[in-house]
Amino acid sequence: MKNDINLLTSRKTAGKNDKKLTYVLFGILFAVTLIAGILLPNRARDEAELKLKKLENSLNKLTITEKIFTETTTTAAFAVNQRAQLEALYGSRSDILSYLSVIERSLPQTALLTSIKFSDNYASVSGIAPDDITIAVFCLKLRETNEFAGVFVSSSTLLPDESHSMFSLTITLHKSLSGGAVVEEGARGAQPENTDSSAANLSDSREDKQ
Amino acid sequence: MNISKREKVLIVIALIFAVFCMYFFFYLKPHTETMEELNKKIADCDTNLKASQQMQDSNAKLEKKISEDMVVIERLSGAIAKGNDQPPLLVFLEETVKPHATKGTFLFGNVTQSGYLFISPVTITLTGDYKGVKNILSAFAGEQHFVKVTGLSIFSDIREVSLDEREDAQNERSSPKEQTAESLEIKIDIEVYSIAGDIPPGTVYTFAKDYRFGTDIFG
Repeated sequence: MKNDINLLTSRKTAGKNDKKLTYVLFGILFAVTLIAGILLPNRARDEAELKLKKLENSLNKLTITEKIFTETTTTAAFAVNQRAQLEALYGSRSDILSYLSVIERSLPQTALLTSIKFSDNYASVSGIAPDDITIAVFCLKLRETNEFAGVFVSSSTLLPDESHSMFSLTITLHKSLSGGAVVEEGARGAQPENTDSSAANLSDSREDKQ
Repeated sequence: MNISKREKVLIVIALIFAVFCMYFFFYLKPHTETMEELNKKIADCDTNLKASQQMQDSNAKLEKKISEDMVVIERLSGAIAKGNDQPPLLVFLEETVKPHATKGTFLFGNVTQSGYLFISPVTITLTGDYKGVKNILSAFAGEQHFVKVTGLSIFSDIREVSLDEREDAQNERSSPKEQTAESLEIKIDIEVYSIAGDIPPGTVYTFAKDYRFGTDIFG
């Protein structure tokens, strides 16, 4: 046995070296894992803290607060309401002078008015005319202006001396004097295509009667 | 002390496990909790930031709308007095009516409030001519006070005689409408609008000058 030759000596040495290397590698791996295990979470925390700080800074830079926003909303609602009221007020203001002017322009010179009464969306006009044709012409002329929603002859009465007729018209306005629109465009009665011819026809029919 | 290879391996494993446990319990777990908290704060902050930015944008839009509305309001309310101030209104009515017609009555109704506007109804009775009525209505359409004419009645006593006169006039003159009734009975219903609130302090009433006060009241 003493003279046995150990043929595995070199191999044994190599096995020991490999073991050492394995230990070293394992140690390095362990150290790297440990360092990575400490550094990576640290880095993630730092990044998160930085992000939070940035967000907080951005938030602090915004001067708006809920109180300011509520105040602005209230002011805006008040302003909208105020504007709407004023616009409605101006929109509801009727130009009564223009109505008078239209009546003035439409009245035949042989007729005269004894009263005009504007109330809500109506105007009552009374007057005296030499005959019904004049009243009809007045009525047609008023309708022709398109300034009114409707013109209605309420009455025409021959005066006791039979020289003239007293008449009364009811004019419907597009807009109430105290409020908004009361009559739509489409609600207006049929307009004569040719006022002059209509008046002429009326005149002819009167002559026929006579 | 002799320890076997197997024991050595076990000790190493135990050491590694102990290190891992220490790492987990004393470092990783608290760190994870901190990260969770941080992430929650970030999420909250992000939500707040987005909400605040949205609020700021809306606020800017609202402020722009307010300034636009205020320009219109200022323009429209230029002719509307602030507060229900009756004395200057009475003077305004007097000065408007006097040059054009003979005043009968100014009948003031109860002041009502509609939204942020005071409405002061006044019924005016007058006698005058048609031209005068038109001048008065024209003055009411002016910008001194915001006046809305809500009713108008004009009555004339002229009957057949006037018509005959008009026909005669038409034969003689080209413009018979110049001959109008001199004495019409006129009733005008108006509403005078003012902005609800107090009369602005320091309002100057020029009409109230040169008066002396303090005497026998029935004198």
